[in-house]
Amino acid sequence: MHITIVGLGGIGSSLCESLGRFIKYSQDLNPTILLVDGDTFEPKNYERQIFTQMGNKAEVKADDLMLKFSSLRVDSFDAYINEANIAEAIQNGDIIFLCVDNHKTRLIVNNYCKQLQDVTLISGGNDFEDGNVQIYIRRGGQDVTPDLCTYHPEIANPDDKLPEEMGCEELAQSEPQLYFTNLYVATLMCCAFYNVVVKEQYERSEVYFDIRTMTADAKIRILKTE
Amino acid sequence: MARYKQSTLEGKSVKELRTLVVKLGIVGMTKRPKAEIIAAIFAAHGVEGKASIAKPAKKAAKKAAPLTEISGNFSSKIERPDAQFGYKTSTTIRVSCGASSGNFAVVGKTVKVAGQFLREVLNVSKLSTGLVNGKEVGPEYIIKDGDSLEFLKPAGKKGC
Repeated sequence: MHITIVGLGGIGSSLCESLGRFIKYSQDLNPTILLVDGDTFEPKNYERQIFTQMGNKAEVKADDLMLKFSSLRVDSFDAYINEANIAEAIQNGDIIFLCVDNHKTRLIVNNYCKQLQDVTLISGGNDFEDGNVQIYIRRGGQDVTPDLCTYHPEIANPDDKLPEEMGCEELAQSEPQLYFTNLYVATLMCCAFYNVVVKEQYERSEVYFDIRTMTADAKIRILKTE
Repeated sequence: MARYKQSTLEGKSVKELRTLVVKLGIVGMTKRPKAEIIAAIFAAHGVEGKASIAKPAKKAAKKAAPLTEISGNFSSKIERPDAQFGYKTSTTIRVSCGASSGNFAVVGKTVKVAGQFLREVLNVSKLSTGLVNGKEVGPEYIIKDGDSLEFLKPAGKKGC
């Protein structure tokens, strides 16, 4: 089993801690984990992100996880995902956690996964106090659940930019986020992993949540036929 | 038809009661215990002082004063004639948008009207597409009893 975690900010840095702990103490799972991010941890990230030192997010978190969970096999990929390098990070059969902050990257990863025979893509995102998690599964070259774009035209036609397309000012002007919201997404993504990989259940392939109403609602998404 | 007092019947012996049920034409009671025989007699002929069945009601209705006038407007529609006592009888369906959901009386309305009606309650966006029972429908689709309606909420964008 090979797990790739793309994006190690508010969602990804929490997710890899929980996932690492689960895998470390799981009898049956012995995966390799690849952490992917081109960004660096800075003091301003302490508000919502979990890390022990400054530096490239993928490298720092890989060190953190191996220190915490000694037997875990963790690699790092020090770059933002794009169409040119995605094949280096994601292979057939992978389980991918997509924890990025733009729809353009989601579209690139989604479209790449559509070409693979077997893949499990768990994508999470949030606004300030709510968000959602989607599960896209392919088996034997066929979609088992709808891809990320089927019910989300905003991902199919993104109006944002890749991190590497953004200037320093744009990168610095990020919208405010709430740590608890990031944490909720990370938790739901771990729940999705548990349902799909451990329990092999994926009838409900999208879940929305709202921390103000303290509710979550899982949806059954049917495949659309052309 | 003869009526019997409970005290009179209870004062009789089982043998006397068995003779009585045969005389009254009540079958299958000759080997039953005393209490059952008395109950059978009451069932067939009533207890003195108690009205037996609702048959006299017809006579009572005939005696009532004739209805000469009705004022006001009356209308009713039974949405669920099979509903059990205490259940709501107005038809509601589940409507959701993102994590928000609820049961609303929108049967017979179009998806567009339901979206306008619930915009504030469920935070439905003007551009939201409607899914009925998981399938995409147009804004003019008329919602039916038993449908489940979802207004699609855009995916969360941030996370890093």
